[in-house]
Amino acid sequence: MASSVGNEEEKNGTAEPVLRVRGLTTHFELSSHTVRAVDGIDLDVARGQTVCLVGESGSGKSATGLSILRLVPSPGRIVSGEISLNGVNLLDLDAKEMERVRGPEVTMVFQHPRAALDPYFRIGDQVTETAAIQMGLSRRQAHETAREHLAAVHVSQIDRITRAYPHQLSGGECQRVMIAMALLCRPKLLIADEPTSALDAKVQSDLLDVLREVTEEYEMAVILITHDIGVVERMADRVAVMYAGRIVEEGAARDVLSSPQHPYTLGLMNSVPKVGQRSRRLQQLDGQPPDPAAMPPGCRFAPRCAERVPHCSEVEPELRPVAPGRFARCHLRGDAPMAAEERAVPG
Amino acid sequence: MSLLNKLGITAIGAVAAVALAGIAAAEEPREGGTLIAANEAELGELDPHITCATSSARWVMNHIAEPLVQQDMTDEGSIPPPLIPGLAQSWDVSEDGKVYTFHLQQGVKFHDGTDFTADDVVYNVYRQFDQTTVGRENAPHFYEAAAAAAGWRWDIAGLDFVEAVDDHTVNFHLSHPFNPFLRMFTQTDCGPMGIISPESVEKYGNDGVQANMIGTGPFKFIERVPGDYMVLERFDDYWKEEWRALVDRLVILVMPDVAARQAALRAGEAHIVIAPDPDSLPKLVEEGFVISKGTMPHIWTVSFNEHEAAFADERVRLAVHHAIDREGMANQLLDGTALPGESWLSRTSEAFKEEDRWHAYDPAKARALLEEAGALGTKIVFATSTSGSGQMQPAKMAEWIQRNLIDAGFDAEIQLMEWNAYIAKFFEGFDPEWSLVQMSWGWTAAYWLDMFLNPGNQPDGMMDVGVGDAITAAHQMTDPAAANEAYHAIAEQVKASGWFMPIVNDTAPIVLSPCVRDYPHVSDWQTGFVARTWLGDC
Amino acid sequence: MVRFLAKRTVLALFTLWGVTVLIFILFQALPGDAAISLLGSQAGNPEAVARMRSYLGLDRPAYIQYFVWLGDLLQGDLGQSARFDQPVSKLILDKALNSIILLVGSAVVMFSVGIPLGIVAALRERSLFDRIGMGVIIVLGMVPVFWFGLLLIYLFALVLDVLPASRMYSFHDSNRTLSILVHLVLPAITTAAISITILARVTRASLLETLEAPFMQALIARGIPVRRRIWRHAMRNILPIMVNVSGLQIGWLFSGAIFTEVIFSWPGIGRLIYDAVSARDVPVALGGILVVGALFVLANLAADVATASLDPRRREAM
Ligand SMILES: Nc1ncnc2c1ncn2[C@@H]1O[C@H](COP(=O)(O)OP(=O)(O)OP(=O)(O)O)[C@@H](O)[C@H]1O
Ligand code: SF4
Ligand SMILES: [Mg+2]
Repeated sequence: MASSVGNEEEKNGTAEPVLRVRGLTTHFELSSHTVRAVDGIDLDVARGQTVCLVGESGSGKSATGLSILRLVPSPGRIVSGEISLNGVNLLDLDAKEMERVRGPEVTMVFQHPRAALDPYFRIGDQVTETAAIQMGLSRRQAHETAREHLAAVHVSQIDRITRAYPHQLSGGECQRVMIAMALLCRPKLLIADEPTSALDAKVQSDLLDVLREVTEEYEMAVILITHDIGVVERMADRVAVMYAGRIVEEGAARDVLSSPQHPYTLGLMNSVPKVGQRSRRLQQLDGQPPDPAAMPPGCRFAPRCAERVPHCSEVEPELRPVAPGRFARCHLRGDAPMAAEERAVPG
Repeated sequence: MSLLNKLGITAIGAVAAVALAGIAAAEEPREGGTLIAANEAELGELDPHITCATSSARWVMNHIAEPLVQQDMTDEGSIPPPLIPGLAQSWDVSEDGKVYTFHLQQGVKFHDGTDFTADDVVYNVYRQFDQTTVGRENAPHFYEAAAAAAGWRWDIAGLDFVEAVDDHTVNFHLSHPFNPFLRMFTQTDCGPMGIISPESVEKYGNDGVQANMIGTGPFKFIERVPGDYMVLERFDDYWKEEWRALVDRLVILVMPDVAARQAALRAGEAHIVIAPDPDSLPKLVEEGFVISKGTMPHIWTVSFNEHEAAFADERVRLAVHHAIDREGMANQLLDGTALPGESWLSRTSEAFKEEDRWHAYDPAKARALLEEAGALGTKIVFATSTSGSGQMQPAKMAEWIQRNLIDAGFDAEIQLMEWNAYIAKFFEGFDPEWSLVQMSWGWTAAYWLDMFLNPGNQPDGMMDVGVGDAITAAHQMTDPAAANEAYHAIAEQVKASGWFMPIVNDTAPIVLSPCVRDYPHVSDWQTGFVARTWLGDC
Repeated sequence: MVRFLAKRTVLALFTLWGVTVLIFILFQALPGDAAISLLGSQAGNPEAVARMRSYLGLDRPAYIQYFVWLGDLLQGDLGQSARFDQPVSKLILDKALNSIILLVGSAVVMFSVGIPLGIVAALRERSLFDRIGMGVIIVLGMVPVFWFGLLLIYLFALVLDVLPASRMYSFHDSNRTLSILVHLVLPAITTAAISITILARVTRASLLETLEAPFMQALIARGIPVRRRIWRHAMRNILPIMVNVSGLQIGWLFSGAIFTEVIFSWPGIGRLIYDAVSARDVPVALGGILVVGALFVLANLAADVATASLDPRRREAM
């Protein structure tokens, strides 16, 4: 798809992105109906690039991240698509091969850091284990490397932390440990699913610095899933906005933030308190996201859209370029003639 | 009882006997090996002067501790089993029937190597006999527990004192003649008089006897583990060659679960199974096991509760007698493992007569009697236990009786209780709700009649039919033949009264592995005198 | 930790004491006593019964009998069985050893069947193995121990004739240890049956739950190999609950053993108690129940302590 190519060339000038997702479709097959959590998305992330994935709760952000790692919990299932990581389609790999991909190629940092640590092992053991396995080190070396990486994420009192169990650490400390472990994997792609949303503001800010520091140092490609516009402003090179399993808008972060195109993004931005106000989180828009069991025909945002025209409820819009390196999924955007005609209709 | 049925029983016995004889004829008795018996109950108290349990006395008596007089346990045919010399080689009875003189076997040794003498007999008796009852002081080794268990013996026999005349002669002095006295020595009910070594009592104490039993029998006591087993070993210095043990060891396993007993037999872990499941007998025979059964003193009885208002009318009582199909129960329900009850006397008693018949099964007559008494639909509660020693299959049998009673026009109900609770309630006095009260019992010795008929021994609810004095008088007759006539007359009187009813007599089948040779089925509770039993090929 | 133990121990002692009082009262309520039971055919003879009662000390008021027993107990004396003329402690000790053999056998069966079954079923959730395995477990859990034992006897001892079905060893076997092992198989399986079902189900459920825990996902995301995830991390996580359930089940194995010992004529403490109750041998029954109760409580306490000390979060709290 054109979007990525333009983007990459803009930023790195390389032809092939680290991650290239095409037509990814992930369903949760419940007994009563099927939830199309991810419904045919395309996404590219280049080396050293941070793409923020934003959208309302339930829009499919986590499902996208988990799909890339092939960690969708049952009854979820990747139905179709392609996930190319450095040219290898992960969906073609068997479980063993996949095991080798996770870690050195791609890894993930989760929202609740304490829950992501094994409660029965000391932090030192867990970090050392990752070091030993991912870097092929002896126990001793792994131990040293683990300490180095903990230092790299600015963990204070390393001795105390390595001896501690997860329940003895603060949330921020846990997340530093998680980032240190992700770092130990030296992944080409890091997926961070709301890594700081469970933490308080100061800790959040420190951690974002740490994340930025380490991903820049190793030039990782990053998918950062977040609700927080502040985070997007600080971290994102590009932004992809998801709605009901689809990407509805994509573009360079500053563009999307300054001039949102899609009515949904627009709504999101408007509902955000302005800079300087305390909370910077995306607010819920009026109305409900569509019922996954009964997706509206046509544009999925139509029931909540202020700009809706009759055509919107009949034909679903494509994701189309609206400006260089910018895409939106709306009949009323871009240079599509259909959009002009529709607008011309009186009423 | 039908002739056919009788023939059937005899035929089975004969087939077994012929089969055994056929094998035995071809083989010389062989020595050695371990004979293993699966016993139906915990062996409990083993001290022969105390034990009241048939299931333990049968192994202790004759095998470890011997009595002065024995019954011939190799003669299956003659009933009652003839009295033969035991530790006494002969005896005389004084003219007045009050002094019994026993001439003891000579050269008899206890298992601890000490000699058996007349003093030992005196010592043994005075361990049980409370001499304060006859105004003397007790011996130092007098044992209260033994007196509690065995006191009744010396009481009923009217023992005054025992004296050693010389080393090998002992006199029992009774205060009155007691006709069943000799037979009494052979009976295994409470506190049987098996002779144990006085030295061992002195050494281990009264309560050390059961763990260190020293007798004169063909087997020595080796070890007993409660709830598990008892091991006996052949006694090489045994005094009587003809009764010397053939196997090296006799092991008695405690296996209260019938399925487990039979499993042990099938697995070759036991050779003898006491009290098998009657329903499985045909199958066991098919599998090649041998069934041994015999005539026993056993009576499965019913007592009519004297407080049951309906029973005041003799016609109602007789209706019960005519209503119950004893023969059907013995042959159909119990598959021929029992004989119909025909007398209140044990079938092994000298006073029992072959031609004795109880009130005939006649449901029409029963109904007519009930109608005549205006008692149709009278409610009868039949009380029995869920299981228990000698109880056979009480629940099944109670149902049979219930059906019989209903067929004859009664309204019948069953009450079942756990065995120990049941006997306790039985002896404490019948529950007023009970109408017909079941119990199983019977001894070869004629003093069995005292059990239920002597008012002194009767629990509340049991009817005194007025034969107590007659029984005592018969006991004290010096002429055995006259005594037997008297006992028989008493039994007839009991039958006529209608207050008691014998239902069936158990033949107490025992299952043997085909390896077992020369197992005599004894016509008394001491099932199995196995000293001459041996293990052949199988 | 010390306080926790002390509290639990005191509570346990109180419970046990309560149990002895209760059992004593029950014996008073049951018709019949040791004298009646010992006297058998002479139980109808009032003089004999009175004599035997006074010999056994049963003619004293019940509460005095109880306090005499309790007083002796506090001095470490469990009393004497009049039926066997043996100290109760000796009877129990002999039988307890046999019961422990059965218990160890059952525990081995329980662990070696229940845990692997649960693990494999969880790892292959919804596979044929899982469905059949769990189906069997559900059925097995509903079959009374008694029936299951008889079924095993029928199959292995009667039809196939490969295993002995009664007693602890055979008098024919020269090697006693080997004989015991062979005799142990069926009773151990029977005793363990119910516990196997519980252990397998708990193992399966807790492993499934653990495998879905966020940290498991994180381990996968970090590329920790599956073996290590399961055998190191998941197993360590389910260990406390397994230890706890096992401790409770070992407690229940004692009670299950009572039935097994009767069915298989295994000369253990369960049968001793069963037999003592029917013979109204009060000291033996009381002593036996006390010992079994103490072992039950001890197993539970040990399970609690072990579980707590295996969990870093609870270790601190203690
Ligand atoms: N395990 C599951 N079973 C069933 N449905 C699921 C499951 N996980 C997610 N879904 C559904 O898939 C859709 C997308 O979920 P996802 O978790 O990706 O949303 P999200 O955008 O990450 O939301 P949030 O901001 O709340 O994390 C939702 O409709 C959700 O209900
Ligand atoms: S297509 Fe129509 S409904 Fe959908 S976002 Fe654009 S204007 Fe709104
Ligand atoms: Mg999410």
